[in-house]
Order: sequence, then C-alpha cells, then structure tokens
Amino acid sequence: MTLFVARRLGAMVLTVVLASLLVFVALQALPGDVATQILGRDATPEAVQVLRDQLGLDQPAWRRYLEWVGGAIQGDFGTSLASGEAVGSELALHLRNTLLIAVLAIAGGLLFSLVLGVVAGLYRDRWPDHLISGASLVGMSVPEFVVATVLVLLFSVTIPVFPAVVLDDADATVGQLLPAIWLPALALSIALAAYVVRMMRASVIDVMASEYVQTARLRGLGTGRVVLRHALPNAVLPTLNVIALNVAWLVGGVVVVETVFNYPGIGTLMIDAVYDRDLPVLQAIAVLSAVVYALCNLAADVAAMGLNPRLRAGGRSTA
Amino acid sequence: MERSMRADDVLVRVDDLSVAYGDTTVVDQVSFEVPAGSTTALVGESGSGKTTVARTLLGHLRAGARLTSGRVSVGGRDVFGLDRAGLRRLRSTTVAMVPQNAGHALTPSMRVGRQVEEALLAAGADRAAARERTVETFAQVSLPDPDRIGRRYPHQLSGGQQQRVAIALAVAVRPKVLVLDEPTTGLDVITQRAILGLLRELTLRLGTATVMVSHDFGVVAALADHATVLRAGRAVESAPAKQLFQEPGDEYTRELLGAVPRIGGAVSRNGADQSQRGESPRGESLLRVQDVRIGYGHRERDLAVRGASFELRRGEVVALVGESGSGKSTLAWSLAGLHGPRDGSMRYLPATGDGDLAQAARRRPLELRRRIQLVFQNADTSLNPRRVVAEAVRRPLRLFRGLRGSELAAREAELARDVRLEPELLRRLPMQLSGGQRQRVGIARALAGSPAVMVADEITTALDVSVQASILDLLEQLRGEHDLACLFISHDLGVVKRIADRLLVMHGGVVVEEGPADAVFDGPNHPYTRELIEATLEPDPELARASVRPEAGGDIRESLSAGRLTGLRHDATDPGVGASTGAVVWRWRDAGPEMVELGDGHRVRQWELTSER
Repeated sequence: MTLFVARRLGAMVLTVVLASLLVFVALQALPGDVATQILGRDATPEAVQVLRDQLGLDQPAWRRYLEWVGGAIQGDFGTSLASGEAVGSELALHLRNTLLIAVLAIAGGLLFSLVLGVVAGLYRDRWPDHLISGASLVGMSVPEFVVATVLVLLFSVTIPVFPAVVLDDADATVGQLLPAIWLPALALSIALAAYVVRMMRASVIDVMASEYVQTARLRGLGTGRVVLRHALPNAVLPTLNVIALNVAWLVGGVVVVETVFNYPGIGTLMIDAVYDRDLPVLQAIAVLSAVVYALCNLAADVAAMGLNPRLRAGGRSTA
Repeated sequence: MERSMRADDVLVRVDDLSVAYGDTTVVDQVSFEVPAGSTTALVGESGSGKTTVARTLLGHLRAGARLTSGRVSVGGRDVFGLDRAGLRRLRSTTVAMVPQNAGHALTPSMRVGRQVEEALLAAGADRAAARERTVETFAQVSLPDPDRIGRRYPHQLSGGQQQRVAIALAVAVRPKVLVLDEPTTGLDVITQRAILGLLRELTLRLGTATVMVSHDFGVVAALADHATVLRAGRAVESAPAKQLFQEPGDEYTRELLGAVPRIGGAVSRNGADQSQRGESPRGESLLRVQDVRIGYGHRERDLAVRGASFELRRGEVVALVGESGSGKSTLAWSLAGLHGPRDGSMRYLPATGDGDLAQAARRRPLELRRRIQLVFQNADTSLNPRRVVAEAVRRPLRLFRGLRGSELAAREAELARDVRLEPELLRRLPMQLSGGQRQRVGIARALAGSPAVMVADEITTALDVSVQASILDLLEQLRGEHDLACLFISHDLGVVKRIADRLLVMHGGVVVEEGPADAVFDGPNHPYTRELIEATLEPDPELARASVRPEAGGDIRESLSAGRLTGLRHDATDPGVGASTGAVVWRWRDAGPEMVELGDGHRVRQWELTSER
C-alpha cells in the first residue's frame, strides 16, 4: 500500500513536470513579444530592450524554463507582470479563498449527492427516484453561471440573506469573506452533485441486486445495516472515478462561478491574468491545476483501496 | 419414513403452494413436509421452480412474483403472515440458507469473521459471545486456523473455504431449518465431497429440518432422505430417496435418472468403435503437444500449465479432466490460439506449413486457423446478444470459405441440420433460444470452418442433465460424420466416461495420468485420479453416502500396498516405515517429471509419499 502510494506520487511528480513543460512551451508559442505587450505599441525600442533584459527574454527558452522550475520548487513563481508582486504570495492568498468555497462545495456536494444517489437507487422507479433523477438531469444540463444567477435571484434579491457580489479584495480575512462563500459553494456543489447522483444511483441499483446483498437480507439483517455495511462500500467504488473527475473539474468551474460573484479566488485571478497577459501567474495557475488533477486521482485510487480489500496487497488475488 | 413422529416434529410444512410471476404460474400446488432431523431434496431442471419453492421458506419471493395459493409454515408460524419485524426474526434465528455460490454471496468488502458475528448479533447474541461462537463455528466447519481465518476477506479464501464460511454463516445461529440452495454446484468434485460430508454431519448433529435444492442427482443421493421431483412448477413425484432412485415411479423421473452420466455400471456409450477402445491408434496423429508450459505472468508460480505433452488422433475424443485450477482450460485456450504458451511446442501435424500452434490465432494462416476450433463453455455469453445467431455461423463461412449469397444460406441451413437445430431458429437472438439450443449454435459455429480438431471447453457444464445428454449424443454423431478429433475438457467424470476414448488427468498444471478411458476408469493408478473417481457421486444413495463419509477415500498407503496405485518413485523410501499410524495422514506429492509406463499408452506420473500430522 505504501509502495503503491509512493509509486503514484512519483508518477504524479512526473505528470506535473510534463504539464508545466507543456504550459511553458504553449506560452512561448504565443504570438507577440511580452515586453511590447506590457509597454504598449508606442514604447521606444530602447525601453522594450531594457524590459527584455529585466525579464530575461533574451536567454534561450530552456534556460528560462529551468530557472523558473528552480524557483517554483522553492515557492518562487516569479513576479506578476501586472501587479509587480510575487506570484507565490498572490496565488496563496487566492488559493485560500478558493479553498474556502471549494472545500465547502466538495464536502457538502459529495455528502448530498451520495445520500441522494442512494435514495434514488433504493427507491428505483418510484417517486423519490423520479424526483432526484429529474433534478440531477436539470443540474447537469443547466450551466453553472445560470445556476449561480438563479441563486443570486433567490437568496440575494428575493430573500436577501447572502450578498450578491463580493466587494472585498483577496486579502480580506476569512471572517470578512464568510458571508460571501455560501452561494458560490452552493452553485458549485449543484453542478458537482448532478453527475455523482446519477452514477451513484446506477451503482446502488447494481449492488442491491447482487447476491451478497440478497443473502444479507435473507439472513434477517435490517435494511439500514444491509445498505450501510454491505451495499454502500461496494456501491461507492465505481463512483470514485466520477467523483475524482468532478472534483478536478471544480478548478474550471470556479472560474465561472467566481466571476459571477466577483469572488477573489483563483478563478478571478486567472481571468485577470489572461486579460493582462500575466504569464507568470498563468503558468503558476496551470501547474496548480495539474497538481489538483493528479491529487484527486490519487485520492480516488487510495479511497478505492480502502474500500476494496482486493486492491490491497497481501492477500491471494485468485477468485 | 416412520409415521410415528409427533406432529410438532414437523418443522416445515408447505401446503398447496402456488406462485405466479405475472400471469405465468411458476409453482403449482406444491406440498411437502420436513420433520426435524430429516433432509428433503427438491430436484429438477432449470425452470422447475425448485429455488422459488425453497426461498419461500425464508419468506422471500422474487420481485414481481406473488403467492396465489397455499401456505408455508416454518416452526409453526405462517411465513407469509408475518410482519417485517417478524420476518426478520424468522430469518435471523429460525431459518438459514446456504447459498449456491459463496463467492458471490459473501460481501467482498467485509472480513468473513465480521459477517458471521453480524449474523449472530442480529440473532440477539452479545458481542463477546458472538466473537466466541464465530471461532467455534469456523472450527465446526473445519476451516483451517479458526482463530484467525475470520480476519480474511472472501477473496483471500479458496472456493471450498468460501463455501465453508457460507455454511458457518448459516449454522452459527443454530437454526431449526436449513435451506441448501445448490450448495456445491460451483465446486470441483473433491471439494464437493468434503462439503457434502460436512453438511451431512452438521444436519445430523444439529437435528435441523433441511430442505435442499439441486439439479444433481448425485448430490441428492448423498444428502437427502426424501426427494420431491419438480417439473415446470409441479411436483411429479415425491418419495423416500432410496425408493426414488431404485424404483422411480414417474416417467419424467426415470427419464432424468436415465440421462445422468455414471461412472459405474453399464457403459452407456454408443457407437461401433467401442470394441476398438484401448486398441492401437486408429487415425493419424493430428495434434502433438510437447512439454508445453503456459503462464499468466513472468514468474514460475504464475504458470498454469507446467509441462503437458500429449497427442490427439483423427476421430478420437480425448478428455482433459481435473479440478478447477488444474490448468485444463488454459491449455485449451492456448491450443485455440487465445493465449500463447511460454515454451514447449504445439503442432498441427497435417498442416502444409509448419502448423505451429504456439502463435496467436490471428497470426495463424487461415487454413490452420479453421482446422482448430473452440467451443465455449458459456454459449449465452459467447454469442453477441444483439445479433441473430445466424451471424455467428455465417462469419466463419465467409472468412474461411468465402461463401456468399445463396451458397452461404445453403451451407448455413446444412450446418443447422448437422447440429439438429431447426434452421428457422437461426433467425433468433441468443436470448430467444434455450441453453441447449444456444450450445448447438456454438457447435455449429465451430463446425462452419470444417475443423479437424474441436476443442470443447466444459460445453455441457451449464446445461441440465437431459440437455447435456442430447449434446453428448450430438458430439458422438458429429465425430462419426465429420471424422472430428475432439479435446473434451470437463470436470465431470460421468460425462467423460460416456464420451471419451482416452483420458488425460491434470493436476497442478501437469498431466498426472493418461491412458485409454476404460483402463483409467477401471484401474486408476495415480492417487489423484483415484481420488477424483471416488469423489464422483453416483445417483445411488448407498454409493453416494459412502462416498461422502469422512473416512471415505481410505489410506493411500493401504491402496499402495494392495497394488492399486503405481507411480511411487522407485527410489523413494517409505517415510512411514516404523512410524505409528493413527494421527498421521498420508498424502501424495508430485515427484515428476518421469512417467511410469503401464502399457497400451497408459502412463502415470511419478509421485512420492509425505506425512502430515
């Protein structure tokens, strides 16, 4: 098990390095000169040359990549071209803000969707199932900015409980942000839950029809026990990868949702960085999302090992 | 059965039970009683309703099924009159079921000890008592290391051990009524014998009223005191087991019993070549396999076949027998080109090229590919469920023969007739055919290329006895009509006895004994062959019961000294010289690779004795 995790961590590092390389190359391939972009079209050639020297743009690309990687390992992602601040600290601040809503969305969304999925599976083809499946289909088909907007209409305009937009800056304290995190988190978790509910429903139906669940019932065990101890661990297994993909998808989802709420998280930072052609920030964000993807998949595999003794080493693997 | 029994001794009373599924009646006015300490078997083919009846004792009906008449009472209580809590109490304390396939019936994510403890807790035991009783029950069902085996997960146990856990799960709560649903169907004969012996001992000791469901008359003969034969939901005959087997009263029972392949008694094998059995080779050699080793990984212990050599001649049926895991199916798949061997040689001798069978099917020349055809065990999963079955037959006709249009249709109809199938049935989807019909399609597909060798991988295992008998007849006829050689893989010695000219007995990836079928059946010389033959249950209560008695099988050294076994390595010293017998169990251990020749192609692999305390 430890060996497995170690191997996967190694593979993860490789993935992240490859991703960073890809991002770096892609950004190099963008047309136009960064120094010109920053200074504008009217800049004198001298000024452009000075900036090019400062940015090290005259050095070969591989050298700049290695220097960037060397810095990144120590937490130094360079300096933001737009704000002139260190990318690392800016990223950390926005990451904290995003984690506030992401963790809430993941925890709430997963709990919510697993429960709903199980209920839908247990009441297959009866009204709770129709209700839940219908709702999840809607959740899947409606884009998250619409969901976010509807939430604003409901909870900020009609019943003004939560703020519609966030006016704080990224460096606001957690306490200041607290009232603002609920609606973005809810919007994200709805989108996240929709897929997981459907997958979980299908999986619960399968497992409830399995022989071991049938015999557990014939052993006179209570329904709660049968569902929780015999069915659930096995039903979650096939859902894990869908969960991992959806959690990783949040990285993209937050961009949209944060923009709707003007929430100062990674998503907003990324949009701004794109507008400003702030390459160091973009690079850092791209690597960060690669890390998130890899971590989510690793977490799914480790969870699968926890649930399925067959995947754990040590036992005989034959039927 | 004595009628002096007190009425309250009757623990199970099924009275005029009818069950319908939709508009179809699946159980029709079935009645029977089971007193404490007695075992009643419900026998029948698939679709006879036997499992449906048995499960009503647990108050269970399939979704969509409903009781249309009658009453099921267990321990004096009307099962279908109970409320949910009452039904749960009944299932957790009074009636317990041993399911058909423990591998599927145990929850994969829970340790087996926890599952037994959970059943005990549900029956009202406290935690400490449950733990203690679990270990006690594991010991009772003869699981090794009962103190610690509960920490294992189901997949870490062998098939036999899983079945023992399932039995432990059922008997731990000391139920008054035990329902055995095909309790040994997925097991090989040697494990089956051990499990049946255990069940017999437990039911006698615990005095349970036992209802068993089985399609296997050997198993019924071994356990049942009384048997009810079901056909299409109706009880056609109900009699004490002894009487049922000796003088079956009903035509259908006689038919079923007649279809059961047996080892002893008259050889039911038809055909004129019976006299030729055991004589020198009839046809030319078609297939030569030499020192083949096949593995599923790169390590030595991943080898499924560790050195097999044999020949197959034209028109000959060679049976490959052995328990699950002996490597017989691996060898078959390898010959068919689905899994390449690691080393050794496999050749199709009459080939124009080199006839090398070690290469994958898709690399073989077309001509060679059509010569060797595989028939799969499961006709229902090996046919595309969304295509009419004619497609399966047409593909090889197009590929190997280049047939098109009316020629194709003509040949297709001819093949259908060859396998005794109405040509119209080819227009159907697999699910619209019966199991036997599907298997005939599988055989027709294999025949489409006019093969010289047919590899039949357990092709009758999933079939009912009467259907099995007809498929075996078909194979027998095809062999004559097409001069086919057949490698027939089976774990059922009764079936093998009926069809095979020669026998290859495999164990642990090696051939331990081979020879003319009669010679091997009459005088098995390897201890494993002897064990296999002895463990095969005959549809005769006396023989079957003797076979499942714990002391059955006898002492290997006794057989040896009586001259019933050969192949003991000549330089092996008897480790038992001077040792006191008694608690010592003697076992054999492989000492190959040399084979001892017994003449007429009968050969036995060398083995040696080891003792176990």
